Amino acid sequence: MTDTTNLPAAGNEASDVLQRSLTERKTARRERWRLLRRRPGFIIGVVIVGIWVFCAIAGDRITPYDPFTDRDSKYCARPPCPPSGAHWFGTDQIGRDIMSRVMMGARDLLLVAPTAAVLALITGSVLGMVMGYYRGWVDNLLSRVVEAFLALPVVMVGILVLTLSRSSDLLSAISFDSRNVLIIYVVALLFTPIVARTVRATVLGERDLDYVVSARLRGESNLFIMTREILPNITGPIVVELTVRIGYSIFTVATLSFLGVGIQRPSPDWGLAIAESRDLLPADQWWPVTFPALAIATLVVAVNLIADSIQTVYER
Amino acid sequence: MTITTSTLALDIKDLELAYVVRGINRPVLRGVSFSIKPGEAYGLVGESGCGKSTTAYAALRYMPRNGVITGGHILVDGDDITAMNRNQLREFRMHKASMVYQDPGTALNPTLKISKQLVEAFTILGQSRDHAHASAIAALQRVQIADPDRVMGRYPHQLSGGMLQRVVIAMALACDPKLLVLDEPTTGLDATVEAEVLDLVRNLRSETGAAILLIAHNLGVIRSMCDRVGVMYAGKIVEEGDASEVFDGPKHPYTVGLLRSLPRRGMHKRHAALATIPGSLPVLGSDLPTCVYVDRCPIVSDVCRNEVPPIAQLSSGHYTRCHHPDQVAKIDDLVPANLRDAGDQTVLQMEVSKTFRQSGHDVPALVGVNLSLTDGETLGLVGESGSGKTTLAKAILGVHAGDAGSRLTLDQHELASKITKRSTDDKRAMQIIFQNPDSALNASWTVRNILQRSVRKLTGKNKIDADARVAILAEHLRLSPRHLDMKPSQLSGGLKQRVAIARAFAGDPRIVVCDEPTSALDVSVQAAILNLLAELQSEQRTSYVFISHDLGVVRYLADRIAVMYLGRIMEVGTTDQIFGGVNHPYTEALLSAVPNLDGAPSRRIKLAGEIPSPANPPSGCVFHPRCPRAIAGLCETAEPPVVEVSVGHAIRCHIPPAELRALQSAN
Repeated sequence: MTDTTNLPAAGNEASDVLQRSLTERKTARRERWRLLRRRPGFIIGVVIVGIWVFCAIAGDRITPYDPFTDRDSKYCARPPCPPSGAHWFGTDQIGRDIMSRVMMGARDLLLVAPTAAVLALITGSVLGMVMGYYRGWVDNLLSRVVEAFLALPVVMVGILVLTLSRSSDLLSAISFDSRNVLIIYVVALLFTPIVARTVRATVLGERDLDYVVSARLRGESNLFIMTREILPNITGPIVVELTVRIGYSIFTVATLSFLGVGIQRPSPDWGLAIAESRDLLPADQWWPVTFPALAIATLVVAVNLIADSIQTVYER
Repeated sequence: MTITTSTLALDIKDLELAYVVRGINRPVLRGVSFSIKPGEAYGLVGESGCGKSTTAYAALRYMPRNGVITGGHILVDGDDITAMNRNQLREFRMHKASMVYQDPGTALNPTLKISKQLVEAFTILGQSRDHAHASAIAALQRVQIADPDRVMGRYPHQLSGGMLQRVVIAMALACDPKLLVLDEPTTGLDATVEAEVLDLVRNLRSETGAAILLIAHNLGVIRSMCDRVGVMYAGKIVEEGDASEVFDGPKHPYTVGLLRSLPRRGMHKRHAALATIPGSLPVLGSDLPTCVYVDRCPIVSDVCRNEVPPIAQLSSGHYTRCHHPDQVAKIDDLVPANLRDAGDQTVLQMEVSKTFRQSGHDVPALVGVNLSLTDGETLGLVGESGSGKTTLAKAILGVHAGDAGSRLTLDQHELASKITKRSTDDKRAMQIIFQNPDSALNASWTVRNILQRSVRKLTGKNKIDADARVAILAEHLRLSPRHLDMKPSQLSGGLKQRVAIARAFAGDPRIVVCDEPTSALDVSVQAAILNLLAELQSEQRTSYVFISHDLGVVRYLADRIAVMYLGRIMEVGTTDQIFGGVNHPYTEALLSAVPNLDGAPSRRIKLAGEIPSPANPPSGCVFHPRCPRAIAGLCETAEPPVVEVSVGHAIRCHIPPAELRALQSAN
């Protein structure tokens, strides 16, 4: 912890006092932000993520070609065509511009993956807090359930649930957007136990501290103690968990899409694009697979760079 | 290197050390000079933040990553360690100097057995494995561990704190160092264990001839251990001299302040308030152009603000950095206290037993504890750790419920055993002040929120009335309004503890449990907190249950004292009765273990072994295995009766009081 008392000597003026206390209150957060900005990994991560977020928001308004049509195939007699001056990343097997599709492909992924991570964080935090705070049989029961979930391979469950729901009559009429909602639920469900376990461990470290005993002695309710006393003191680990989870979530969603059970056509999603074009690899037509793959790699690495930096700064 | 008889074990010359914070050098040590002769013990005292630990670490050239030596030299056994390169430094630390840290639990690797760690200390010196093993056993014997083979096979967590500190000392002595640095070596230990560790260090010193640099905040420890002492303040040694001269005739206002803030010579709150040192330490690294103590000095004059005080030599080896050493005697003596005595109306009557269930076994933590508390009274609870003091406090507060049959009666009505079942009035009637204000205050709340919430919850006041009450509380506890908008991390330890006290007093409690409220604080801050507690009690007729391992503090503050051992009350009586006469043999041992600040040698009664596990208490009198006065054939079979020595003074012992008196006055 840096020296927060290192401020000019106190003046007597009321305004000075007010100013001082305001400054002091913000010091910790500001200090953390200052340390973050000094980390090159964090800056690189933020720039890369920033680019992809920009692509996702702007979408086809900034892509060089329409990512969904092959109207430019006249430039290219037999698609897929290799990278050229007109198509920097080449075109896919039906003549669509890959660069435009990669830029556009960020949209669904960046909607689905972080949302799933946030959802998992909320449910996992609630669960973890209840487990860690109450302990005893509540914790025993929930812990066994959580462990059972943790034992399941994420991708297998994802495939199972998503395949079943696709084939079911009830959901066959699902539109693309609600398909994405379903993916969010599945990924969130799969990540909840991991978050719960982390939060539980953190709460266990807090719940017996004297300030919690003191709150009980003045008759606070359990809900108050959990949300108002303990929660503000564990935001650090929760923020770290969130950034880490977003990274995993991106990877998981991309994997599910690649396996055909995630984001569906005609989305230019990267995982999907790799799945559709991977047959071209043996024919030395590398570009339809390579560019979406690089896109996934840069995004995941960038998110992890941010997560690492935040973790280091919070844990010091 | 010339080897002469006069080679000093440690010679620090004008050492200046700074911590680099955001690219700026912030001076921490400002020209520290002192030296230790071979075989001599030197103590550094001063409050936290004065630079004594930095100095201790610097003696081995251990520094935090941002520490830089900006001037001066450190010579150990004639070698200048400030000029050494990495390899030389490693070689030096391997052979010439060792360090013993405050917490032995973290100084040892929890995943390795003692044997592995201790043997390594010898193999590093080039011994073969077999040789090293033999050396390790010998080293354990040297630190008076009776059963070295058994200890060798243990992991650190299986040993008690005192035992671990012995192991650490054995490791430190492996290389037969010229200099042994001890940084608060007994701070976390019980007084009885502390006394034994100190005895051991004293013996080893005469045995090995190693010079000792001892850092301790407990002035009694320093007094009993050291030949010479240096008093540090703001990175300077302000007074140095023979221990007896400095403690008996301090000549720097800061030393005077430090010594006066301790309750000494049987002082009691009725007689006088403790002296405090106003103000606080200068901020680390700030500019201190003249006398470093100028802002807090009671005898400050113009010359102090304009000139650096010269070294005033008082006698050979005793100097002070003060312009007016002759005026030190004029510093105001103690302020007479004007406190109301305890009343005789019983507030709380307790009959508590508490048994924990631990992996299928019953662990009796409190066995038939029977005590009462009157209005405005302070009941001191003393005993080694593990004696059940805190368990009793928690049972009173309802944090955990006592066994069936336990009764707590507050003002003639029975209290529910669990806090959740108590009425708001009962909740506000009993509050607690914890030992460590860092964990006692929610770090993410402002002081105002902390106090306001307690006021509103306990008194049911609305927001406006609660605000007014918070303002009154803050004024009472001498917290300025600007502190109210700060978070606990921005406050000093003393201020944090004031906030915790203010919170406990939010609803005008009848009873406040004080669980070692000052043991995390510096002595001058402790004095202020103790004065405050005494004043608040006198004003509000609050009763205190005061838990402390510091018998000096208990003696000062308590009206009555209960001595606990293994969940049982062994002796209870008024403070005068406990400190003045016939005692239970356990109390006798506890009292004799306290390092004496007045320099009078005390005859220590050694307790054999360690406090047994409450899961498996000894038969008969639970104290008999350690009791120096145990009667064979009686104490291990029969539970001792509670004998009333005089009115209000009861002892749980087989030996009749008259006989105890004869035995104890024989010493």
